[in-house]
Amino acid sequence: MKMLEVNDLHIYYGAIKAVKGISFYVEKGEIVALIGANGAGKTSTLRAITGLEKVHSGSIKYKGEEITSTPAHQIVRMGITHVPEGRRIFTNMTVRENLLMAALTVKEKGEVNKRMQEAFDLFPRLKERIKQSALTLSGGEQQMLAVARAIVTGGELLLMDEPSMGLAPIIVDEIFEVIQRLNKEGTTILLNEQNAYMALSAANRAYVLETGNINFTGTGQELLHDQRIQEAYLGS
Amino acid sequence: MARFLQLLVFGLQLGSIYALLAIGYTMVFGIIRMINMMHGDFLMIGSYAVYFAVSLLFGNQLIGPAAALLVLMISGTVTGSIGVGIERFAYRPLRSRAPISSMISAIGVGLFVENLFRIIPFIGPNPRTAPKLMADKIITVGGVDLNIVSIVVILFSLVIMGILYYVIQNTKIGMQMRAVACDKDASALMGSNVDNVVSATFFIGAGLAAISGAFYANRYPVLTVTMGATLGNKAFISAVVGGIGDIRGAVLGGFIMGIVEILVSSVLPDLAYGISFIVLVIILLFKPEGLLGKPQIEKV
Repeated sequence: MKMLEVNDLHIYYGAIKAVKGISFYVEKGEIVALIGANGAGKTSTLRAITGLEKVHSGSIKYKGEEITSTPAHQIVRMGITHVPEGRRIFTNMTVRENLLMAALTVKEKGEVNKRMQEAFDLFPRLKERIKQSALTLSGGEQQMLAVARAIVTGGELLLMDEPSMGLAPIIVDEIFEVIQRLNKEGTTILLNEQNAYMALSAANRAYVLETGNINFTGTGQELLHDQRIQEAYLGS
Repeated sequence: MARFLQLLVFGLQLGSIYALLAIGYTMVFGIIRMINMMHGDFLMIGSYAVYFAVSLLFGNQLIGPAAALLVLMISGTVTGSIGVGIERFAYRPLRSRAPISSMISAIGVGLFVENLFRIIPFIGPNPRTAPKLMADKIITVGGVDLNIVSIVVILFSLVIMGILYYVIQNTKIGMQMRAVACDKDASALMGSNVDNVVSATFFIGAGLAAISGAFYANRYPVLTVTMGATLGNKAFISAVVGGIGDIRGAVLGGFIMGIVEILVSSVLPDLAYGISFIVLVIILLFKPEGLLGKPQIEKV
């Protein structure tokens, strides 16, 4: 059974068709990347999976269960955690409160502390800033906080929308190391990324989206060496 | 000097009423970026709820502090629930639209509520006399005559505001309110039921307006279906003066409005309402985001 199965998904914004019948799947334990330019429909797809966007038609199944019209706050309880595009941290709260908010669905207090500790082990800089307002964090630190929140929330499937956007290369490397480490520890990952090189290097498999359709698919390595992909996305 | 202190206490009493009402404006604005134009009507509903609770439960007996507290809780709960219902049916369907839509909806709801109350036979268009929740009793402290009711109203309001502030800063629901105010999608992704959090906000806002109404009716015991409009405007000014979206700002703004109004009307009774607006204009000229408001910083 596939962990996540998206079938013939259509998303419309009024007359604009953002996603036009895409199908893909994610197996347990994989890192799968959706790559493509701005406006290809990657973000809409992730938002539809976690219930933030209304689906026009098609189906989304998680562990065999239909979740196409399940509201966002219930989907996270089923085990899908979503790090949205642009971090979306709570700038009116401290770093610690951001993490506590992420722990909303975690029942046991001991478990919350354990996961916070895990997040701090990965991002020691956040621990130094635990009492600071999240507004004072740099862009890179905000992305770290966004990933740390996902670690605290837990979940078996992690959706990450543009984790490298607007970050310095050294921080991009750091974030991708963490993504791969989470994957080794058992989290399945679905990744949206404009940085195709980074995404394809990390991913087991990838799908290439162009204006609402999936045009290519293959393993990360295959696509990395595909001439069409190289010309369109890797700039060589 | 004694006269000034007396006026100051009156000002604080009126200020408590404005502050309790302003908190609702500011909380609703904070969480869904909407100016709830009919918020003053919650004050009216609350004071009618007090009127009916007292006549049904206690008839014409003079009621004691415990009974008064019970009546306040009934009024707060009834009004809070009405607030939740209004949000559910009049604002929620418009939440994804432009903010002006729900503002217009709010004006409509306000007119609807006032006129509905006018035609309900046992409420009716004629003013009613509110029952006294607390008898006036004058005590003299260091040569200043003070009404015990004023003191109770001020202290009680401060306690409620203290509890509210604690709830927002330190409880799960308070944390969710702050999170939803900042980012609804991100809150939903962490498992927060945004609709319920907004409902809770309306319950608290309308409930506090009801308590404000009870205090107001105890001081000026004439109930009319349109009494909420003017008071709502003044509370809205208070919220803006303090910095809309910030609860401490609403409290500060409410007290400023109350004190200014009482001090001005002791000299120029006809101008008090106008002066309130002048204070608003002056403060906003120098600090457009309100006294405690922060200028919006957006980080990319």
